[in-house]
Amino acid sequence: MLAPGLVVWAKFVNVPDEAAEVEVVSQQWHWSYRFPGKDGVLGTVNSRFVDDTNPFGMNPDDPHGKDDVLVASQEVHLPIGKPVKMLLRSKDVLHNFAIAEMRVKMDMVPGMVPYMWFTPTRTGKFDVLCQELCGTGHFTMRGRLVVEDEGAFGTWLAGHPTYAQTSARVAGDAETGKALYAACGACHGAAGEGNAALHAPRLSGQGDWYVKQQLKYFKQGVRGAHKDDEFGRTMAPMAAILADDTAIDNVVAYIKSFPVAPASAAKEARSDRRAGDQYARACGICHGAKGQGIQAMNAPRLAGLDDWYLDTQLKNFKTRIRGTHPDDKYGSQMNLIAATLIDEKATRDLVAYISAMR
Amino acid sequence: MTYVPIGHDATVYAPPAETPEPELYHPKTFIGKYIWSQDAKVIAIQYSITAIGVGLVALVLSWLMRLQLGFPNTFSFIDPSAYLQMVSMHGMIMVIYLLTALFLGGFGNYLIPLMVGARDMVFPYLNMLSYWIYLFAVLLLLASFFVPGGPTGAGWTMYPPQAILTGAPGAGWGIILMLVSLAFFIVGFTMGGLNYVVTVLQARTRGMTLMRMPLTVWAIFTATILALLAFPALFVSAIMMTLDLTLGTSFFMPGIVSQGKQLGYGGGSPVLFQHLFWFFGHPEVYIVALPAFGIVSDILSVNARKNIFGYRMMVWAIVGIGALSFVVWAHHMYVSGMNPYFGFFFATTTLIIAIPTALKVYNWVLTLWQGNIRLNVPMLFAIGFIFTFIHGGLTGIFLGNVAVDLALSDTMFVVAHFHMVMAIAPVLVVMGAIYHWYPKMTGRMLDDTLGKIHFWVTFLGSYAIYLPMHYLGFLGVPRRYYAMGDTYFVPDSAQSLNASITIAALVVGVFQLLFLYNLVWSYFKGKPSGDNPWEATTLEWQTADTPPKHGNFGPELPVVYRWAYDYSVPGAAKDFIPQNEPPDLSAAGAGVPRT
Amino acid sequence: MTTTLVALAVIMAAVIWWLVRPSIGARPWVEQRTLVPDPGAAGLPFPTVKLGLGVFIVVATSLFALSISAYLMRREGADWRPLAQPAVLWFSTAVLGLASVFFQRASGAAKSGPVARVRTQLFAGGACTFAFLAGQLWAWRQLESAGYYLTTNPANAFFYFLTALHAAHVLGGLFVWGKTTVRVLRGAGAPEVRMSVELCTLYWHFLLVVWIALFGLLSLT
Repeated sequence: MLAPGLVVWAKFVNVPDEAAEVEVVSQQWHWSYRFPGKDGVLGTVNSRFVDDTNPFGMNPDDPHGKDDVLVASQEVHLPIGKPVKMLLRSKDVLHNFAIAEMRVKMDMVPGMVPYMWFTPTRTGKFDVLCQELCGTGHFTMRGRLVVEDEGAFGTWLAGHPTYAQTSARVAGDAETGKALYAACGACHGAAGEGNAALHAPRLSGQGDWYVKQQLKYFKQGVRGAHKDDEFGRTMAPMAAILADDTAIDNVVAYIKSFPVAPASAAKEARSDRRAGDQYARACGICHGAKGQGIQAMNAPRLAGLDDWYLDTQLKNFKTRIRGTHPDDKYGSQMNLIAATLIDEKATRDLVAYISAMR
Repeated sequence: MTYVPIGHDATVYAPPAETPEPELYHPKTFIGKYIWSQDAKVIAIQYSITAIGVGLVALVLSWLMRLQLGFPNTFSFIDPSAYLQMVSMHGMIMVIYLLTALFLGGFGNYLIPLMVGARDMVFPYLNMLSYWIYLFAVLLLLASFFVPGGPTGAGWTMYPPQAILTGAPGAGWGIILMLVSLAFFIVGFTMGGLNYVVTVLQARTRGMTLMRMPLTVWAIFTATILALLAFPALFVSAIMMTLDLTLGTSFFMPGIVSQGKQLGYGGGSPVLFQHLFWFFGHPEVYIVALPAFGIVSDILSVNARKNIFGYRMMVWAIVGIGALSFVVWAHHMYVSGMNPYFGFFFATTTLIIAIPTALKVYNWVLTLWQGNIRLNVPMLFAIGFIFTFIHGGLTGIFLGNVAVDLALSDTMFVVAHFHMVMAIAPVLVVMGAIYHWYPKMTGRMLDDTLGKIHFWVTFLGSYAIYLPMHYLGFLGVPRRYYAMGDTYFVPDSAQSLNASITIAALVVGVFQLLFLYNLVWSYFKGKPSGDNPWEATTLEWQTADTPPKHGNFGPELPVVYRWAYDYSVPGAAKDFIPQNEPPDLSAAGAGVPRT
Repeated sequence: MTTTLVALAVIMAAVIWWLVRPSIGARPWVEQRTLVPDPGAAGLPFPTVKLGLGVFIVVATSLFALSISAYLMRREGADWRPLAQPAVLWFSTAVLGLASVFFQRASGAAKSGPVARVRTQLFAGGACTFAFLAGQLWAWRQLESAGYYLTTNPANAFFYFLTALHAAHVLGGLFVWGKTTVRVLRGAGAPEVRMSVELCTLYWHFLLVVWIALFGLLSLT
């Protein structure tokens, strides 16, 4: 039993020369991927370079890195029949990149780059799971591998920006955005304060990256397309008004200029210890202890949001109205987390707690 | 093997010498006798009660996490953080604070002096200190349930970096208390361990050569040596991790961006921690398993009324397994990102360790072969152990094989494997051993019917729990997952399997309460046992009093004339000859020496 | 881990040799006509306490071997910057060596000589050990003032960690030394303290060996 086992292991350890390199980048509790681009060489990286504008930690001075394709999504596509060498990098703690159907897995260790290789032999979608305990959100760390033919893979890859493109992006123009915002302001309020009667949530204070992402989702039908998403459906045509990415950038830049005002209804600060505890243990790790939102965790700001909006969204996540679209990069995590709110009361208490945050 | 009655030369036979009474600590008060006791037997019972008490906490934790897995999103108090905390504390308590403490601190303390014919441990004061430090460690551990943030949720393996970063539950107070508690446990254990080793080496009674010791003593002795050599690895890594956490050193911590923030660490190696941890962690498996091996050998031999098959081989197998267990640690790390070429070496050593282990299993089965088996409760548990151990051992061969492990590691298959081999198997032995030695400890028998019910529910129940779990592992269900959610490769039926596992676990758990009830009830109402209810040969059954008084044996220490396994000796008057029964002098010259 | 494995291999080899020697020919199932020599009396190769200390030394050896293994493995890291070894460590080494010599002589005195000589040697040994600890502290102070802080580099962290671990063992030894000295001061005779003095001697030799190993390791790498 040992001898054949070792032969198989030798095959696993020795990567074939023709294997294409792909880097998997993990963090609590997301996957992202990096392809080497046209020059076929991955640029150097260092955790020192990591910040909100450079989540991959790319070395800005390395010419090899300029054409690297950055896939900031849980989903990765691979061409069928081509051996692929996965380089595994972690930004924070131990993770484990495991594809059950491929019978491969390997830990990702911060400070090291372990590897593994396999050849996808069947098209389809496969789950990627983290299989090394990495903290509270371990069970929500899900990725997806899509194996498809060469053509489809090329199209998919071309749809992602290179490092040079992401770093060259110019900030939106708030002045131009002001005009565009007129349509939004009708519901969301002139200063983005939100309107409960029109089911329009507060926008002021929200992270620009999040507003941008959600606008794109609405526009692409990732969000607001579900037949039961009553209020989301009204937003979808509104987002369609924005013609292109530049328009979105501009309106987002204008929204960003709103002052962070207190929530519309005056509420007393609640000190529900149980809900507070629950928030700290389950939500606060990503959304921040004060609900301020953490871009690096892809977690939007919660402080200042109104209770009715939080309530609707939590229920949407729980009932899988939101977050289940295949192109919703990180929504599936909220499906798993919202499912832990077992009854009406648990949701109500939590919402009350969050909506009192400033 | 045939036995021919042997003659004895009366001129060479030396009568027992008067052994001077060694200096014993003589307690004066109730507190001195039962609380600050220096009597190994009292310390053993203190150890056992504490270990079983904290073990019950871990049992309840396992129910809670099974409830979550079986019926996800039904219980509001089990959030993802709480679930991980339960997993971590369950593992740590069971492995270290229950099994290690119970086998070595409990059975070691009770049985070593009695079985080798000593009055007490050689350093009674150190022995007492050992227990109190252990108790302090347990209290520190339990205290972590009540600190802000709760106990650590980083798994019982406590891998850095996540163990000390905010993403893991209990990353502040919880992990510090855990590390400090472990350090205390190790200090306390070292004191006890010194005692067990030196007692076996120095305090054996006249005639008790090493090769006449019961296998229980051999096994506990070897396990103690393993523990003494392996625990320092955990000690070192616990201290270094505490320094990383509190002072900001970078022993194990590489450059990290946690939740969007750059941390001040740099260059450390998380894999270094894993090497140190498993250098302790693998021998730890045998620290738990070896005493079980030894105790099972003795229970089998007594109740099969046969000598243990291949005694010498059994001793060498114990020592061989012990030595080999230090060179297999990295088989826990095949997919840890360490240099994958290590896999070749460690897969080979791991499968080599199967040889002495299989040898032991064959010898147990051959001991039963054509034995005059008494199917009492301890025997049932011992035979149950053989079954579960074989199952756990066979799956171990799968996992030890590096290429197979690639698919199975970190799945429920691993959970099923190690529970079978180092949870259920040793726990069955613990229970068998309690049924076996309870009469000596209290002078009363445990109730037989309750015992049989307890055995069958536990034995069959553990199969109901762990067999389906292997299957879940084959499906690819990962361990330490709070909830599966939607996954392509896991069919919905896996959830009903999970529910059935949970129900089985709850039932088995509840029947352990029956065992506790039996322990208490029999203490007052049990049938009086007499000195030697099992008709066993070893010295602890030949004491003047039951339970043995302080000093163990009467005014004179016993003298040993034979090994511990003289059962069904042809020509003998009874079917067992106690170790301290002098040779039959009247038959001098009759017959030839048997070989 | 190679270091640890070598240390362990030596320990294991000793254990197995000790085990195999009497057991290879043993036939425990044969009833003995004669009694084996009584192990409870003169037959014992070591006094019980001494063996106890021996076992403890084995445990401590494992502890240090593992720490050294960790040191060697961590040293491979790219961020490793060796620190400048303070010269005062040579002084520490010398006084610890002297302490060992004094303890050896105290042992000899306890065997035959008057208790007064034991007392002098014990004091000298203790004083040298305190001087050693002072030297270590001084080395720490020097490093700190030179900017080698605990957290700046793993080499520094290991230096502080290993020296502290060793110093903790020295302090443990000084506790027993203190108890012995007090007994001598209270008028105990040479034969009464002989065992304690011999134990201290053995332990101090062990401390010296460990220190030389650590010092060699720290200066050579």
